[in-house]
Amino acid sequence: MRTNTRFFSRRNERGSTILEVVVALFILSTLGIGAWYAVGVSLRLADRLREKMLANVRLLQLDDRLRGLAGRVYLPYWAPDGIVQTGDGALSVPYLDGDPKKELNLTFREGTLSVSDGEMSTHYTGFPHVELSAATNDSSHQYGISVQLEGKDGRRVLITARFGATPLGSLSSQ
Amino acid sequence: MGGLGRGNALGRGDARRRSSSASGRRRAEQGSILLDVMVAVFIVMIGFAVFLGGISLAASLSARQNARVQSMIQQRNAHANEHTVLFQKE
Repeated sequence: MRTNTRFFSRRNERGSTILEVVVALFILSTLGIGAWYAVGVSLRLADRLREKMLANVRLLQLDDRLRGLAGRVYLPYWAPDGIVQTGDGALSVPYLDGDPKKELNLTFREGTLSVSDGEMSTHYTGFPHVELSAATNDSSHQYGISVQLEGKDGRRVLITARFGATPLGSLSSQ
Repeated sequence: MGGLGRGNALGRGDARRRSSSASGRRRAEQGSILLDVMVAVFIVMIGFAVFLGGISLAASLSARQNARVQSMIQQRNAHANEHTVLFQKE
């Protein structure tokens, strides 16, 4: 009887040890798979978050640059109406710093928006679609530039930057 | 005889005590396995909750930042529309 009990108890102990190992392996593998998945998702999320933050920073930089440059455009009272030239993904406005030879230029080619004042050109990427136009009021009077941007995530942002000074133009004739 | 009988009785008692202590140890071992499993599951659940909390926090932060940038640009646009410097042509 004693030998039988010992035999069974040993067998039980051996069985429980295998069970322990199996349970431990199962728990470890579950934890490992979960941790692997969590790390993957976290990395992807961190990347996406970083990209979004960078896109926001880039957008604010572009906004500052556009408004700064447009604020330097001083149109004299003799400037003709419809001074903003647009077409073929480009926009230009003379009278930068009040000088008719200096121009504010905006071009959008191959996914890159370039903003230039003739001396320094700044390039912005990350916008698949950009529309450049003149900002007009109800009387079709141009008072600034308008840039419609579409981000990679489909978000649309409109930036309207006014000139430093604008003659009333067609309004004066009314 | 009596001594022998007492000895036998003592021996049986010892055996019972030994067997009961062995089964108790086994139960304790089994209990410790269960406890380990429960602790592991608890830790995994805490980790999962922290992970989900982190994801939702990151998403809400990102959405809030997007909204803030959007509202800032809209505010500047409105300011540009309202405060255009106009002067009359002579």
